[in-house]
Amino acid sequence: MNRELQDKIQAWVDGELDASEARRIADLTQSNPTAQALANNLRGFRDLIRSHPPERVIDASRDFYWSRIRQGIESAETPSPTRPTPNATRFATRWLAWFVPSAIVAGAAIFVLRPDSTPIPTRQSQSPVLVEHVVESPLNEVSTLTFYSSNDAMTVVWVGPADIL
Amino acid sequence: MPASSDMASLTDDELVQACKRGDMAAFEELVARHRDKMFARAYRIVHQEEEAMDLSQEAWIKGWQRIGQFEGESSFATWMTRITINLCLDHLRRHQRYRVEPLPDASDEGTGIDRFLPPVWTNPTERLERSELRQRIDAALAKLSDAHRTVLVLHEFEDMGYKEIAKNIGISIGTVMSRLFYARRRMATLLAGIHDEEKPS
Repeated sequence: MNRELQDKIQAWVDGELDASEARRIADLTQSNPTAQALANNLRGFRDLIRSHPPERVIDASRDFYWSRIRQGIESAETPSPTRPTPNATRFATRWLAWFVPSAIVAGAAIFVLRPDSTPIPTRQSQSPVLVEHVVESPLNEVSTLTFYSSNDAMTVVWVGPADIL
Repeated sequence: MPASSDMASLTDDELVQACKRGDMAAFEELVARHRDKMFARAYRIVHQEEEAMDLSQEAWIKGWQRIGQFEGESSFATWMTRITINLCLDHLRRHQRYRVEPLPDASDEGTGIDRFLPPVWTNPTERLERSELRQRIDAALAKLSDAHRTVLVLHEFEDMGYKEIAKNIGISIGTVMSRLFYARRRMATLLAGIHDEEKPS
């Protein structure tokens, strides 16, 4: 028996053939004892296997088995600390950078215009003095530099990229 | 929401609805009811207890995560079975266990080789206990390669047709047929107590 016929007989037993092909194989098994024996053996095997599916039970308590499932569910549901992506961080930095100068200028204005404002002590009180205190910026990419002019009684603030200031 | 002790009296459908509302106690009850079935299915495919245990638990985790997608078109057990089987098939695929090693006695492509499929009962008077027969079937399944066993298990126990098996595993229908025939012949030989070396050359 060639392989093609054998596969056809198997497919016939499994109900995988269309009606005309199934009729052809059915006729063949009537006239060919080898084909008939193969079909019978395939049926016998299939019936035996299907009526005796191997059964296994879990050899662990309900609590033990469930505990690992619950752990898996909970660990999957626990939100991981949301770390912004590099692109998101860069975008946020740029966006916030617009507010930094305004905030610094506003802060400086409040400092200068307060009613009991006193000039910042300088080494040379009559000339503009560069006060080298860099205002700490929350953003790494932006830096500021300020100086107080006692002549003009004002504080000037520069805001710019950190690598320049 | 019912107390945990009341969960046992609820139907699967009621428990599923509770799960959709986030009730994990309801899900625990579903796990307790169906865990052996899912484990047995995983075991039939991978045929390794520890792996089957891990895979069945992983399937339950996925079941909880996807419970919102379950619309009740089939029973909950059937839905979970699909998740379990897909997970096992993915597992075998990831570990490249669908490969068929060269066969010592006959190749799938064989021509002129004895491809006789013996009847499963050599001795019609032999009457085995049901549990003993199951054990023999289980032992015979263990002797098949993963590739052959998977096709046989999906066809005989999960009632999948050739086309569905081919689609799930990613092989042709012709390969499904040849693997199925080989697996059946090998199993029949083992169950009939006929050893390959005893067969006439």
